[in-house]
Amino acid sequence: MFINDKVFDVIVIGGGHAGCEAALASARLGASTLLITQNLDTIAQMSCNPSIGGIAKGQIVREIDALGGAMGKITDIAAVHYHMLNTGKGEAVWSPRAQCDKKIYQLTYKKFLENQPNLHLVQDEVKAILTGGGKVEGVETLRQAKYRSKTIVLTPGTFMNGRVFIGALTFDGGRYNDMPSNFLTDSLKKLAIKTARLKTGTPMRLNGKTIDFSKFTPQPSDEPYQPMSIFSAPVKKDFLQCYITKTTAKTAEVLQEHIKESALYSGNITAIGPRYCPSIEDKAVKFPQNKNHPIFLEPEGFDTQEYYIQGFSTSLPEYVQYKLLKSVPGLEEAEIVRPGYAIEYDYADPTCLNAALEVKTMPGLFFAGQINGTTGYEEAGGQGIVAGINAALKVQGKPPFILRRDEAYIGVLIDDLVNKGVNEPYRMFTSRAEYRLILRSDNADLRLSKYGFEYNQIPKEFKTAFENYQAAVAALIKNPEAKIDAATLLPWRLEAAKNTAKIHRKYAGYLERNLKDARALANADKISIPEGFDPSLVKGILIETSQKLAKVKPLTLGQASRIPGITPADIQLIAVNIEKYRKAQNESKN
Amino acid sequence: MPLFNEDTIAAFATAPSSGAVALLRVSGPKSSQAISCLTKKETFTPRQSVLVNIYDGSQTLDKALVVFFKGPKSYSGEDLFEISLHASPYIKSRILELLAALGVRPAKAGEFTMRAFLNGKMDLAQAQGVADIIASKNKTAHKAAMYTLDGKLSQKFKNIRQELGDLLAQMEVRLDDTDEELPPLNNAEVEPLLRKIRQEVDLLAASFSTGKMVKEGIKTAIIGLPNSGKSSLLNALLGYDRAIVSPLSGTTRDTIEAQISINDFNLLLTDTAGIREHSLDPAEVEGMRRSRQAVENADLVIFVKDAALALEKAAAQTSQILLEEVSKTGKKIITVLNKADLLDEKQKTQAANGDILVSSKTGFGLDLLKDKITQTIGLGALQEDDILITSAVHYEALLKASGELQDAIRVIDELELSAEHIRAALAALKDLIGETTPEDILDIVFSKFCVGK
Repeated sequence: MFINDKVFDVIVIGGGHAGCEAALASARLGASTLLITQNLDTIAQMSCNPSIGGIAKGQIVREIDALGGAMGKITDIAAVHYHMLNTGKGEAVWSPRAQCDKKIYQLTYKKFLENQPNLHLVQDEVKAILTGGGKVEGVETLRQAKYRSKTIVLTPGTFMNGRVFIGALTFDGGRYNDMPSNFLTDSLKKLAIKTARLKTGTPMRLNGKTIDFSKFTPQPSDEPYQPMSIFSAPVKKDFLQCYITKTTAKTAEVLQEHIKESALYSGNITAIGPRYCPSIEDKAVKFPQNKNHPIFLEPEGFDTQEYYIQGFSTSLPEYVQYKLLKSVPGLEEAEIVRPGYAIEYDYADPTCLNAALEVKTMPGLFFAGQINGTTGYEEAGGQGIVAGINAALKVQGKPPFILRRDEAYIGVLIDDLVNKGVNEPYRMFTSRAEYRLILRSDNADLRLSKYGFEYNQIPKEFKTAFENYQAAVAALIKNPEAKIDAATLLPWRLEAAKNTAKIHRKYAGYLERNLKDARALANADKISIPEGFDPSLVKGILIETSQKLAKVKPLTLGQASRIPGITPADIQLIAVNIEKYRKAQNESKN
Repeated sequence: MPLFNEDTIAAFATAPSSGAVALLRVSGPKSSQAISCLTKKETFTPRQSVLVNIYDGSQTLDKALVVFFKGPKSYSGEDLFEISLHASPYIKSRILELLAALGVRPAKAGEFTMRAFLNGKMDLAQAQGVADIIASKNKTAHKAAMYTLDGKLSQKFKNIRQELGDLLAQMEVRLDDTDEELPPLNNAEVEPLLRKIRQEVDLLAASFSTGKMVKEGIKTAIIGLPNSGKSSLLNALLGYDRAIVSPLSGTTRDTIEAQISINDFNLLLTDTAGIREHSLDPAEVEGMRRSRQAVENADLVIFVKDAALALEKAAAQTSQILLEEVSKTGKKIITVLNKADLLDEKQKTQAANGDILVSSKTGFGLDLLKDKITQTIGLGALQEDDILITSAVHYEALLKASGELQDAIRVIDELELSAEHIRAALAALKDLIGETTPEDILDIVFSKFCVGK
């Protein structure tokens, strides 16, 4: 039965990295929002690495920040170690990363949610999405409570029918020690949404007291460092160190001997995992000639001795995990406090979504994060903020917020998902971006903060400073010696303006070329495909093309052109027929 | 996205082999600049036709009538030039090459009209007609996928794609290396590889002129004074009586076309009416006009002299005057002294004077003539394994790719920039080698590198 008569504008299901950004975003836009999570104590849990950012991912964090999202700000509060990646290459591909204290990250996020006006939190598990009259009506929970809403953002992460694997041992779980969500998949199936299985994994965590750090190469935090968020100032902290070493020939031997016991190779797991996050047994099988794989020790926080062992992701039995550790100098005596494991879960084919992340066949239902076949906190957060804004816009009867491929990695991400679908967990790479030199970490604010202001994600009082910052960068591109009053830019920093202007001058010819291509893309994206017009029925296109168009249902001509296998000639045909359709519509009106 | 970009494009508005005049349209923002370069004329008054020279470097390629239409008052709605050229295959292909070098690419099927439509210069009925044409062409294009290309050429393209793809993967994996564990690329190895690939691309591009001739046939006009033995030479080359030869196109009153294969190349022979200096007979005047036209259209002219008259001063002089007239067209010419069977050995030496001695009657000298034909047209060196480009679109793509590879080498020390150029080179070659998607590159990365956490 319904808890009360209240109709929420937005209900967000799930309190992970996608759900939290989504809930904050819709609430900031003035939508009354309810976040339902199984467990308020695992809000924004870092289920895998205790780190935010990395190559391409760091750019996404900066983009979320530029849109007014929380990930960057919280990272700066929780950071234990900063590192700017790719500094050996041109500034265009520099990517920030920060190790975080897991607990501080969670608690800070919870505080952000609690303090957000328009946002309500409740601990419960959603078991069904309620619909009626072709749109969403609300949700029903395990406690048999029903909540009414106009829109829903579903962000279940790895929880839908989640199953954990450690060697031959297997049990239900959305994460180790957390209950899975065993009802939502069925609820989606009733809405004719196609689901399938994906797999991911995580390495063991070790007790730092039992690690011989003298055998490792330390990696100190950058000094000075660049904060993740525009809104954070650098602070003095006793940052922690990470450590690096390599596996040995002995490790390879152990893997060889026990490979059959891995859940991945025993036939227990059949779902596809991310190629970028191979388990150590995967590495041994696929690259037998390579005996020395890098291993990174990452601290999980200031107040814990737990270390995350990057590079040792595995679903081998626990006793083999011990044997593996014995083969690595410095880890011979290490004690496992939590074993590595693999996890299988349900995701929904993201081609069921439009570019606003809304289910095409169920208006008002939005998906974000791993349910769409992605992997990574940053990828989840980027989708979350877009889905949250779009859910609120939907309620307000406004057009959706869609980022183009030349505007943001988030745009590349969503465009790839909804047009191409996935066949492995999708991780962002800079190689996926055609406009890599435009989509930099230093200029995310210049690319996206206008939307942050437009959608009320960034407080209005920052508007003047931002405009000053834009003007400062423009002035510095023209004249590096231009006099700028740094105080008028705060919280934006003069140093950042100078850096971006310098990069602009260095890459001028390339940026211009990228922009030219991007303009062509933008023009094609301006031609929307009218609602009553079905491009798959256009005379003269091939059957395969027709099927692809019918599946993806592109919103614009540009989007249609990005469906794999669609040719420029197809696009010309569709363009002509759109015009014909519009004309017929106008004539019938008159 | 070739549809909505700011490229300048060129296309012939006239059918490939119709008439004496070919109409070329050049449309887009760079058209003025390109046409000024070609004509060495700085400005054109809109809607005024002017006769100008089209230059190929310092040489004149053709005299052409040029009309400039300032956008939006033009067929396409953009700045547009209409250039009326002589419809010789050489001039037509060469001008596209020259334009390509100036950044003007050949238009794709329907693209020209599409611009007109999108700029509101065409109504829907017309546009629908265009769409129907695109639709039919589209189906053909889909079928003409790269695997249907000639085996060797396709293999060559596959190699280029694989080499460039592998190299790009090597670059991308380093740009995306979060672990910072991969050693930097060894430019001492990458640079020679890039140079090698570029050389392959350049070789393919350079084969375009020849390739086009191979594909379309070498248009050869047989010219000479009346009764110099042109028709008998045609018959001799064919090896059978031309009466049983099926004419290629509508046999005009007095020019006959026939197709033969010489040393594996196609020759489109045009046997013409004899040309004399003065004639009052209207039919003969018309015949001579057509003979001159055949010369204009030809890639090669076989100029036939009558051996029996070669030693007669007056006849030789008339023949010489005509030869000089033909020479002015700048065409490649082979002079043949026919009816060699009428001369004795001494006369042969005396008369030949650099001409090729042939007897249509006995077959004497025909093999020499055939070799001379392929040699003159520049095909003599062609080997069995040679790979030729026959499409202007492919030619332009290769030129662009070559430029990108040159730039990739120039900025080789800056990985993210060099990668931009490799990506652009792969994109330019898309129509030849197939599209290379980021997913393709990631597939190479994950099959070759053990990366990831």
